[in-house]
Amino acid sequence: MTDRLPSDATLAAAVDAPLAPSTRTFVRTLLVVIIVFGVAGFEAWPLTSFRLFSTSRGTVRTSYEAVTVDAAGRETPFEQSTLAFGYRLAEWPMSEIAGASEARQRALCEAIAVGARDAGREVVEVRVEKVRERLVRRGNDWEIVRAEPELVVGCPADERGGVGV
Amino acid sequence: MKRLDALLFGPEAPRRLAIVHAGLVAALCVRVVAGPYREIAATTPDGLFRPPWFLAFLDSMPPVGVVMAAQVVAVVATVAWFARRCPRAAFVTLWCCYLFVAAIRDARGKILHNDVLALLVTIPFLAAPIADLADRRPSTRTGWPLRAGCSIIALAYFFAGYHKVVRSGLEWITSDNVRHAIAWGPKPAVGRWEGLADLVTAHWLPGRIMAAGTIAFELGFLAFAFVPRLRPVLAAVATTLHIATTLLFGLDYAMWIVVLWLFALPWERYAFVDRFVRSPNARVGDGTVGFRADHVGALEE
Repeated sequence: MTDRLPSDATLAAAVDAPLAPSTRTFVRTLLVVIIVFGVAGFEAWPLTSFRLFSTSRGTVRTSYEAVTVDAAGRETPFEQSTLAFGYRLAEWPMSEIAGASEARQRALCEAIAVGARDAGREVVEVRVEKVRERLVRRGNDWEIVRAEPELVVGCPADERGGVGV
Repeated sequence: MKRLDALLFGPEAPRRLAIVHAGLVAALCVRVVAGPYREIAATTPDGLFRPPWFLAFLDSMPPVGVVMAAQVVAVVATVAWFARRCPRAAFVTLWCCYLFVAAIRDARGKILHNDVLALLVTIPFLAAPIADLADRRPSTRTGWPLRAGCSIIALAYFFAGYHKVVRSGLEWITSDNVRHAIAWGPKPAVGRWEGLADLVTAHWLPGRIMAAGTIAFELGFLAFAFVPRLRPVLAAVATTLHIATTLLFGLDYAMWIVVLWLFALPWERYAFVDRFVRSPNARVGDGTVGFRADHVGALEE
């Protein structure tokens, strides 16, 4: 597998042609930008600070979930992980809904309603809730204990069947 | 500063650059074609569309036809690169297609790192010379793309460790952080190896060993840029970590693993590669591999 290895003499006779100054500037600039983003924690994808699993996880977490309500008042969890790819990361847009404009809130609710309807559910209202959960060790198992969800935004259906704010 | 310069702009065999370049082209093409980008574009509603800054002019996901066109263009660019038809332009085109489809995947509100490393390490290759597979004489002209790539990889892992320390401090190691993260499981829920999760979370010790090992490993990953002999070892450990992350959290780090191994191994020493990557100077029909001393310089112009 390693035949035709370059000899030491060959390695020593490396071709030392000078590099163009622009090449050096290009490489240095690229690395400086990556270092600045890394140190400062900037995010401008695909430039990122590489904060991977950086927050220590405890036994309590807060997350955002959506539920849809049908005409009979029954609540159904949105369960985006069971829906198409486009919905799988819906929690992240949901987490910014409280401070979002009305238009953005309406668009998010409509998106959730469309996803739920595509999954065959009846939707007359969309609710986005803040959920507090606690991780508890019981014997050899882990159990996730949910507190009562807190309503963040409710979007009732309008006369055209869409959901508004 | 001089030592850093020597590190970044030192010589590497053109053969190695040719092999790594070819591997990156193949990996990017497979990624662009095989990723779930069409489904993401087709199913992401406007209300969940959160594009990265360079697609901020869009109000919604681009049509599936546009994504498909990008995939076709990527395949054409790959074929052109391997056929040595305007290889530089072909690589730039392929990279732009990859950036576009990866951005579509990213445009759902969460910063995704699946493709970030591959996108960044390939930036130097946008301006890299098209090297000759037959040329084994180390040259500064073909060293910098490889060394810049290794430095970017080293920085990526280093900053992953750095931010654990900065944001969480020693608690990242001394608490049950890793144990809890695994016990919580992936969110959104995806399939994972529950048996492995149970094994790691059964006692406090495995999680803390994993935490300490991970931070030490990531902070020490700067060695990837400085010590070539350590690269395969570091790549093997990182691959193990990525596979464990995939098994426990369902996260896709395939491109990280591919990039790691492309840059970690001294590919110029492996003869078997000749079966897969053709020299641009090979003469068709006579079975020989030609060599031209000025090749690299000529193509750099």
